[in-house]
Amino acid sequence: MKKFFYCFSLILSLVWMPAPLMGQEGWTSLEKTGGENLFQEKCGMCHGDAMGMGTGLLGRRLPAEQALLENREDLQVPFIKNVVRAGFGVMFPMSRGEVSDDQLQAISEYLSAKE
Amino acid sequence: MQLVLPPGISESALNKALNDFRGVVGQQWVFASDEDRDTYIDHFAFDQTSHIAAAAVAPSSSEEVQAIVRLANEHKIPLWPISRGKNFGYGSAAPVMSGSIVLDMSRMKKIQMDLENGVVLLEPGVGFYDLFDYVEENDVPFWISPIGNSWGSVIGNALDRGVGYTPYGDHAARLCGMEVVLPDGDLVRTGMGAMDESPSWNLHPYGFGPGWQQMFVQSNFGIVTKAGMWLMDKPESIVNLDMELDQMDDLGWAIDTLAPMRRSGLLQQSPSIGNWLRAAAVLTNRSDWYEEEGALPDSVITAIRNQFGLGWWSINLRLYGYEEVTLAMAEKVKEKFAARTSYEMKQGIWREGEPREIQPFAGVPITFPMMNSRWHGGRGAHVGFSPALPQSGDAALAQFRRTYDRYNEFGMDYHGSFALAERHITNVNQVLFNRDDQDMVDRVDRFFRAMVEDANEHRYGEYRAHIEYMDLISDSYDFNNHAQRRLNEKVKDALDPNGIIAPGKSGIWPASYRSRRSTG
Repeated sequence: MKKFFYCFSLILSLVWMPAPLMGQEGWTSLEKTGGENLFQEKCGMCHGDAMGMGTGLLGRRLPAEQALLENREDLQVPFIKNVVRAGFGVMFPMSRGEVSDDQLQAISEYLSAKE
Repeated sequence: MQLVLPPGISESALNKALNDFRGVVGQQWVFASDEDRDTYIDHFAFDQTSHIAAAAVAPSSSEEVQAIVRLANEHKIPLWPISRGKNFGYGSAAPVMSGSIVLDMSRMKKIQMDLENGVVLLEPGVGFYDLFDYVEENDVPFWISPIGNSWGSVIGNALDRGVGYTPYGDHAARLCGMEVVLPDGDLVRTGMGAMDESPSWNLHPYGFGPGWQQMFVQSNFGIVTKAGMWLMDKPESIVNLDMELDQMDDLGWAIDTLAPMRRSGLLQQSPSIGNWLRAAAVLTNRSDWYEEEGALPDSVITAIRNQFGLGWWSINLRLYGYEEVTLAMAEKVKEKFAARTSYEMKQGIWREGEPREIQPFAGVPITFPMMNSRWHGGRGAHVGFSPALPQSGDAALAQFRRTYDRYNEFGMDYHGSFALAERHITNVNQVLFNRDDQDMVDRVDRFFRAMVEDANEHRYGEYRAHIEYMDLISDSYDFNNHAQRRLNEKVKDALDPNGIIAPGKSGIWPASYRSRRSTG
């Protein structure tokens, strides 16, 4: 439990990626590009900072610094893809409508490149 | 997941329809593999094989939705529209009727921000986090109204009458102006949107003549592809008032104290009175406290309360606005409570420019509350049971007692709250269970049905239902031998003669599938 409270005490700021206020014909798309930005868009609500559900649950069984996926050095592309498509415990599976294969590849490469 | 065909449709007919859908959205946006079907299950379901999509198609615009709907009519293929499919506890992305094709609008993620009026026009794929990020990045002077578990779509939540915690928490009431694809593929805009190029589409809620907007909420009469949502002005301050109530029976007087303040507008947001498990289930596992089966005994409940400094119930109020006003309002609230109790009311204040609470109260989306799904261990889950009742302390207390007895009878841990709207209370029960414990899964189903029956006896209806229980709940709306259902289905058959939009949603079955209704 101690680990968990430690984990919760960390308040990490999200990476804000400024978007233009208005796009073509007044519409702005909130879709992002690039592995890091896509990680924030698709995964950040659970794994982006210490307050997410994923970080909190991982913090119950892993050292606090490993509960944040962006700190991990052991994540491999096939493992990430499998967890995203199949779900894991409380984590829901994510469809190709929500995260396309190309987007998942970019996210997986971003996370697996951590050293 | 193995393929489950739409009723009466052969595999070759399905494949023809999917090929036509590919012609609209592109090869890569039709999903029909076993793995794809698995990603659209209700991962919190008791039985994940009972609501299976045959495939999914992901359009990128209203025009593509129209084209798919027209093709679905040609091929007689049922569609199950989702915005982001995060209706956890109510069915997630899964259809009521197996074999339906999920119409997944996750890719539709565009917005138009009206900075002068504090209104955003949204597509269904825009989630609470997407909108929050946009508002913060661009220093937009308005706040969003997030929900307790904020993965979902802003529009999708409002269309299921989801609620938040700010003064703008009645989300369906903050929708203003919709664009809807009708079951024949026609496109309408509600309210002032009926006038082409009207600048008031998302400002004036009604337009001229009948207002159709509510018709598309919790219904299967059309597919909402855009909607206006009003945002609240950033407050200058928020005063928080928090109280722990020591006894179960404190619920009654607390409701009676809060109700007039909510009704008069002294309380602008809907306060929620929740029990000790709300915090404990997020912060710990059940096995940290108790290894036995059956509902937690009083000794363990006391230990949990002592550990976290919780009452049997907790009240958390927030007052929004100019500091002189919120502080004055706080004095009035404290005065009203002091007349009823000697419990301490803790007060704090947030001022503009200070770090915000990471809480929906402060317009910040969160996901950590769903850590409570792990309370029992295993692959955790929850299902929601939320009847609406009159704003009366006696009624709330009686409802609590009945429900609490049922929790104990079925060996479940009480996890309930009472949220006060302007004229009613919603008794939210988030029933936590372990999907890997078959005995518990069976008990939860029987427990749920018993609670529905109890509520029904007192004529309390649920405001929202899981896909498994939509027929059951619809059946309880029985005035004049289910006159509302007859009306719904007359409208359904008139608008959707082929029955292609979300058969079974909210217990509304089109003629072509009506025999599939599970009750009534």
